[in-house]
Amino acid sequence: MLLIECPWCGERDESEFSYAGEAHIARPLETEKLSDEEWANYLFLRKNIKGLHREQWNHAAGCRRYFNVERNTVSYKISGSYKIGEQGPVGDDT
Amino acid sequence: MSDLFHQQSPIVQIKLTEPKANQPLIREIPFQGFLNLRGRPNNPDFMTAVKKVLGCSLPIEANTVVVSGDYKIYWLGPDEWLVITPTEQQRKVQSELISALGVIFSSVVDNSSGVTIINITGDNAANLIARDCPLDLHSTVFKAGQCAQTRLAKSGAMIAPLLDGSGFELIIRRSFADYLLLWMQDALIEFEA
Repeated sequence: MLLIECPWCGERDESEFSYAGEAHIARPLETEKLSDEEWANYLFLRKNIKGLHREQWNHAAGCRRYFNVERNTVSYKISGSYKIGEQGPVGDDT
Repeated sequence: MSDLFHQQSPIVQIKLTEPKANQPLIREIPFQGFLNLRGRPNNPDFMTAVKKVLGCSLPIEANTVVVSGDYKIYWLGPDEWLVITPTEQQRKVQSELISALGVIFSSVVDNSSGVTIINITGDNAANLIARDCPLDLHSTVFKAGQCAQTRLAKSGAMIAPLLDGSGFELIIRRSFADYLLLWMQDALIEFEA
């Protein structure tokens, strides 16, 4: 089990959270000008990073807020969490 | 809120026995008024309007409780609070809040029939909850004046230490109350001897 730090509630058990996918995916501004390929890329394609990964979590059983977490997908070590809209910490890549 | 005449406790069919040996005491505090209040804490108009009605400032610090006279205000999120009032004052507080807030970006929702309060007091109160709750309930880290929304036996619950230090207050959904009380009665067996 992971111990995840909610930016508001502090460290809580993983079972209180739900995963919400890759973070920092900006919706394209002029969607009508996108090709099908670009639109599909925005909708469906996600990175599959080995190493530091920025992802969204929702504190579902707690304050019910979304936030971002930077986690190493190899070691599962969480280097930090930060609110939506903020620039996150860059942890070491080990 | 429905009329008191028609109201029935969500755990009416469960017989709560007197605690034996080291068992904690489980009691329901039924029919309180619950208001879900939302608004922007960085809007001074919102904060002053609420303060005028409730008599105290909303708790801004995460997971804290503020008591003001008959009212208790729990932090639910950075822009969300739970106001608990005595049964007969819920309608008055709700309409006062709505008229005080006026056009300010906010919402006041009556949730009185949706949740109920269970108090667990005495020896092993923390141990009973800890049977299936990931929260650290030790009195050195979870003190009176704090509250936490968490998971209790696979259902959601708001847990707060009672102000007199005698145990914990659980605020649970009434639709889960029956299940949770049955779960508690099962968990109580451990403390029977």
